Amino acid sequence: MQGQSQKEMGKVIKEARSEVEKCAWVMDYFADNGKVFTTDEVVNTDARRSFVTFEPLGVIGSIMPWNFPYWQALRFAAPSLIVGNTIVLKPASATMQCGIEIEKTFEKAGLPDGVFQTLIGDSSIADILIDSQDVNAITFTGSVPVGGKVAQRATSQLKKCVLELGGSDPFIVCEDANVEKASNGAVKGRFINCGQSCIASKRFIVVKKIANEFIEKFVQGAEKLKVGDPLSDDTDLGPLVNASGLKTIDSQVKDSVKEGAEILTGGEQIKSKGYFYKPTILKNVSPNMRVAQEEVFGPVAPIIIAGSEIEALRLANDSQYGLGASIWTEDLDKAERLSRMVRSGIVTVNNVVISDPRVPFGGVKKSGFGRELSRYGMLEFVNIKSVRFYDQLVHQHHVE
Amino acid sequence: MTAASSTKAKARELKTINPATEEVINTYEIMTKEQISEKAKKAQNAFSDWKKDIQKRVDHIYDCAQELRKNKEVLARTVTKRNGKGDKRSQI
Repeated sequence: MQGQSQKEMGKVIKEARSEVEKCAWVMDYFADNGKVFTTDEVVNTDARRSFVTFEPLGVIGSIMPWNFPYWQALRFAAPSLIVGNTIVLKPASATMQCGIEIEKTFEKAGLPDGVFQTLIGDSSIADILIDSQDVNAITFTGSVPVGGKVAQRATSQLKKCVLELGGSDPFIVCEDANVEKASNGAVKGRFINCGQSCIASKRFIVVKKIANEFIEKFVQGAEKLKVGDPLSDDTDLGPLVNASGLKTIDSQVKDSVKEGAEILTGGEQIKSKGYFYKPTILKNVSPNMRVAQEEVFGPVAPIIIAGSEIEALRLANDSQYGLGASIWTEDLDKAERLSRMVRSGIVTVNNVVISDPRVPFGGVKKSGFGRELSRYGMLEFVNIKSVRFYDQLVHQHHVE
Repeated sequence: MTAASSTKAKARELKTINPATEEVINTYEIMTKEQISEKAKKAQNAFSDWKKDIQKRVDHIYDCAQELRKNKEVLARTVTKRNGKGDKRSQI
């Protein structure tokens, strides 16, 4: 399998390598900090001794997607394993081998038997995992509709769950933004992983005064991207994950064009074997179009023009999602003000949104609930236990 | 009935497709309910020891990080074939 894989690949793949490196980082990060994050907390109460202690919950069922098949599985696994939970992973069908490779890698590293296991199967086996009496809690990363079903099934059995769902992150370009920086950020933020990232920038909300300059540079940047063989060193964008992903993107663009959106570049699939779609930028997009309403999981950037920064903020918050947001401005007071007004779990100023083991990751609204990464992520799957030692019976009040 | 459903489940397969070529990469046999329950039980059994000693866990996780780095090429090539990631982009 590996030999065949290497023969077919042939050369270095920087993006995938980077994902593996980031996984090693998250493992190291929680190994470095896990003890401090879960040290007992002493609390002053009326008791002789009071403390809060953090205990693992047990077996966590982990249902993960295909777009970052190592990172998504391990950003959850690292803190959860350190805190003392064991894990059963159900990888996405599309990236089944990646899930198997994680298990094999950990086995080679000497991880005790049963601590991290991978299941083989399609979505039909997720319910079996959730229902298992040996599984104590569930973490899910994926789409909103499936997340809703997972949550319903898990919580009906009183199993805690964390949901990392979709996003339609706004990319807000204020009138004083550095256009060079913002347009480079737009290319980077939108076309990462062929646009298939939950925290990719998905709605470009640009203040009118700066719009033409920004759009020109953004289009220039997008047109420089090379789409093609993902195994080739100079390729920027590979194919979409499958035929259905390609079909959805194509119909989101076509429907929006029918309603008045204008294609500035791209706007069609590449006629060849494979699920390739040209990097696409659309202008004249209105907030009710599909490309603005739905999560666009592919290389398509809709641009919405706002009359003012306040209107930009209103448009940014006018979404069912609330995962990440980026704000582009040179005025840090404004950045501070706007970042507190955006309804999302993550805000980044003058850079694209990226996950980082040191800061919490997660969303509000339909982007899910709970957090991953940082100490907050680590504490999602623990029993936060309060312990108090009294010398004698103390009667304080009449409420439970 | 268990045996029958088991046989039926065993016959089920999933295929992975290379999105750049639309060719089948591999075919997997989908685990049965019994196999999945067994894995969950094994995880629960492993939990009783695993939860005991944080220093041991920390050491194991450092080892896993090292092994990931060692296996980087194989892992990277596996993912590229599966979801067609481009080469140059480095952020996640």
